[in-house]
Amino acid sequence: MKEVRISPGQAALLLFILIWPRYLLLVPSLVAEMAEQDAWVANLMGGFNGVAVVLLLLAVASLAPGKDLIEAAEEGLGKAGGKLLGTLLLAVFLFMTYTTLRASSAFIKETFLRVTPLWANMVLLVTQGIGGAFYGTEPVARAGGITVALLVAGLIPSVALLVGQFDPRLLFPVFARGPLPALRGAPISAFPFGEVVALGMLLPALGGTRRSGPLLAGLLITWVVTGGLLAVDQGILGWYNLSRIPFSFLEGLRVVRVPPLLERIEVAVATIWMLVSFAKIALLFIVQARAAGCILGLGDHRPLIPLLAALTAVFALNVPSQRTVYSRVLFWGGIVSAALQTLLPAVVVLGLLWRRRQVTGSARSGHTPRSTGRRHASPVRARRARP
Amino acid sequence: MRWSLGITWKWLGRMLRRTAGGKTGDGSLHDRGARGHASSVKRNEQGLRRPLPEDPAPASIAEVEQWLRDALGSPPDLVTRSLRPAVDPDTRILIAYLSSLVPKGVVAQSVVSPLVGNKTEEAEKRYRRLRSPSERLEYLGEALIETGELQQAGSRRAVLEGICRGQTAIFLQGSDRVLLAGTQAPRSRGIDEPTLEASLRGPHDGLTEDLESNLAQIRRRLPHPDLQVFTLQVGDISRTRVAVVYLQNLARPDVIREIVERLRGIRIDGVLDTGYLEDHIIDARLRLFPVVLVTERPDRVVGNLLEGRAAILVDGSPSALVAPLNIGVLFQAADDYYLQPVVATMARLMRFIGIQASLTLPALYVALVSFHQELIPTTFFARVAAGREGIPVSSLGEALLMGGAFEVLREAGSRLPRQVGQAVSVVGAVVVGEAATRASLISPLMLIVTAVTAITSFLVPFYAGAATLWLPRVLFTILAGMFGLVGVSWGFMVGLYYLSALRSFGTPYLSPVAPLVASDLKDFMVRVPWWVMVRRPKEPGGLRPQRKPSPQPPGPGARTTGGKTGERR
Repeated sequence: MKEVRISPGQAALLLFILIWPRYLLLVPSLVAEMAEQDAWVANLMGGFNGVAVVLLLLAVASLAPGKDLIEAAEEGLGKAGGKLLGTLLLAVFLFMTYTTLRASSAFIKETFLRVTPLWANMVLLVTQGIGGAFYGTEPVARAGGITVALLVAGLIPSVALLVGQFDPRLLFPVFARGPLPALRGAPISAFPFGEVVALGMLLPALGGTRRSGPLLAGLLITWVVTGGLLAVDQGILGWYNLSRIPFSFLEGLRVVRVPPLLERIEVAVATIWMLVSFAKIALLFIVQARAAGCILGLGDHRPLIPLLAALTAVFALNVPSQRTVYSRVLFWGGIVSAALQTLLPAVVVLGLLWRRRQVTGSARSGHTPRSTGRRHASPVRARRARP
Repeated sequence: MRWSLGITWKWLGRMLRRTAGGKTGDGSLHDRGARGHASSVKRNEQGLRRPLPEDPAPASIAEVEQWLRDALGSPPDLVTRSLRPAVDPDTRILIAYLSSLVPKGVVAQSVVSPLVGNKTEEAEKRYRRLRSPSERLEYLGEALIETGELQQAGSRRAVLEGICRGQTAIFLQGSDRVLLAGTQAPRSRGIDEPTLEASLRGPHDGLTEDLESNLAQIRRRLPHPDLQVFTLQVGDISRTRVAVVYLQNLARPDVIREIVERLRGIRIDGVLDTGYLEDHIIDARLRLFPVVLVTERPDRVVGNLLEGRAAILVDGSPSALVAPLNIGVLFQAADDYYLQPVVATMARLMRFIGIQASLTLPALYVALVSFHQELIPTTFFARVAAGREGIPVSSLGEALLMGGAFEVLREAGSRLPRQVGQAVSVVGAVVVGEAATRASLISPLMLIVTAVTAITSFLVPFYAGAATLWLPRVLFTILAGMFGLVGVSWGFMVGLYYLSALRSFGTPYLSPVAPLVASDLKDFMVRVPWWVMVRRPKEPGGLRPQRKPSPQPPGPGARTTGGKTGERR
């Protein structure tokens, strides 16, 4: 199957789709729990993870053009090393998918369908995700782009209405108890930013380093917007309330009253948010199936989409629903995942650089480099190795 | 492991391909459509009837007459006449035609009289100088026959098809070639105003069932040599003439090639309307949304040709197909280009909102009343609850009942004569609405919702678009009845995936929104003034993007470039 190309704008939209749903939903509460008064600072610190991941992905795209993250890992670390790293990446993707499914279905239950069982919500999420994933990356990016535009259109008036309730004194003083609380909260906010590592499996479609500008710009915008929203949240509710309300942004909106018809403006935002979340789930289904297909050496990853989707859904359904347990899972899992999200691409980049150096050295000394077990040679490498 | 995955993949792939709009390839023009056509051609070729004979027509006049009667089944309207031309009274000529297809007097005036009329010495000399019967027949056609259209046929198939189309066949003793004179009668219906696409300010002429008339209407608007018409025959029995019309230096050659290839790949016994072709040439297997514009307006056809699109005309159909297409056409009416930009923009926005309302209003009603009562302001909800008191069916049942009743009334009204149709609509509205409310079958609010839904569904400027709204509306309503707003969102998202994957001859259906083509937005939801439209839309991908060299703002001191000197007053 010929790989589709994604435009620069769509690449940036994919980035929004990956970061925003979780950020608006869960992160403010968990970060406030850890960082307390310095929650908004912790959020800003977490953004560096996103920048690091995007830069690493761009480096991978530059060193191994036309290859996704796992293929590049196989080139840089050898076949066995690549498979091992791919397996770790797949675990990260599965964790991202499972937590997204769990959080979304729980959100739907608490906000919209209190009587409907959780599994029914999960079925809705999974079926639409499988449908979108089968259509492919390009339709999901397009559909996601429309949902992001709707979300922005919903957020702008919401934030404008919230400004009147905003009290900047609730954000200060900064570092009153030292930098430690902020450092504790930073990994939580780093996790959703690090989710852009999923784009690593779409690198061939993204077109390599030519997309660096839109990707970085998109990340910057996301960083500013999410940071701003969390700050607004904290400025309205205060860190204590923020830490105790799971869906704090919507709770913040609940204080807005524009009677009689806009009494529940947060529901409109929540509905649109749900659409973005749908697109994210479809995208994650594509990514995890691609990763598994790469590891198993399958030419077409699509048969794996429903299998892995069902697997993550069953796993998400069987996680205890008590918030403390769930937040603990997300906290520790988030920290480990955030670390892996950055470390794994970094290892791939290092491997590629090491391999490149080895090849250049061999070319200079006239020796043929030892085979790495790769199926296709990198054109860049081949060009550089030519005497 | 691989074996089980392979089986799963085959099953899922088949399932996906059966659903419409699934992305199964690279999205190129030759993607799903071409593969589908190839397989359908192979399948259908087995069931075709025996082809007509390709051998030459009999050279003997006596045999010809018998052959024609046998081949056509001795129809009562078959007229054959034997005559001797004035230039050579020793030779026999046979003319044959179907009187039902040829106007009275045309054959006598244009064929018989010139052949048997007064001869000139010069003509006779020239005729006698020719030796072979085929050359003599050709000379007769060039020198004497007075019809505008004259063809030579070499096979029995061509002769029979020509006669069945209303041409007059001219056989010469000893010649295996046959002349076919164009004597067919034009279709009788004159040019009327389009019934489904009325215009307030623009042209009031519409396409007719006659292909020549339709081509003439287009040519009069585009008197330029770049206007190309490619004709072919589709239908193994009907042999319907189909014309692909495009502007040579504007339309993308690969799109035109693809359209022609898809038309050539159609194997069907007969084509009676453009709808027969539409199902065959679209990119998806199932036609849920219009991916080809169906229009009765020649001005709309020409407007699209000028944007680099192609039109498909079918002999016998008063509508044209225009491709490629995007979703913007759901909001665009022909009048938008004739009225003031502000008025057109407002109308488009109104249509957009109206279509959204038509799609989602019953679903939102069901979702709010059944699942999310807390979203309705308290005082208003009290009235809603009072209105629903004693209603025996659920809100979902109400919505489906009223929606179904409306569709029944619409269908009944559209098939009846105009006056009776209006009566049905009025009676239906009174009976189904007022009486059902009084009998406490439905709530008053549901009646309002149905009425608004019905009215807004008519905002779509062309019928095929309006007719496709009911299916998503019903699905949304059922999903709302099952899962409230979440169900509506689910339906919206799945629909969005479907539309995002849908293509019309390679053009993304959701363009210029997704993918975003900023320059094409000037004629999507808004309609900027004509003097600003410097570039053609990018999405059909015309060869010449510039519509005009630069913006030409109007005003007292404005430049008057563009018109020819002789045309200025």
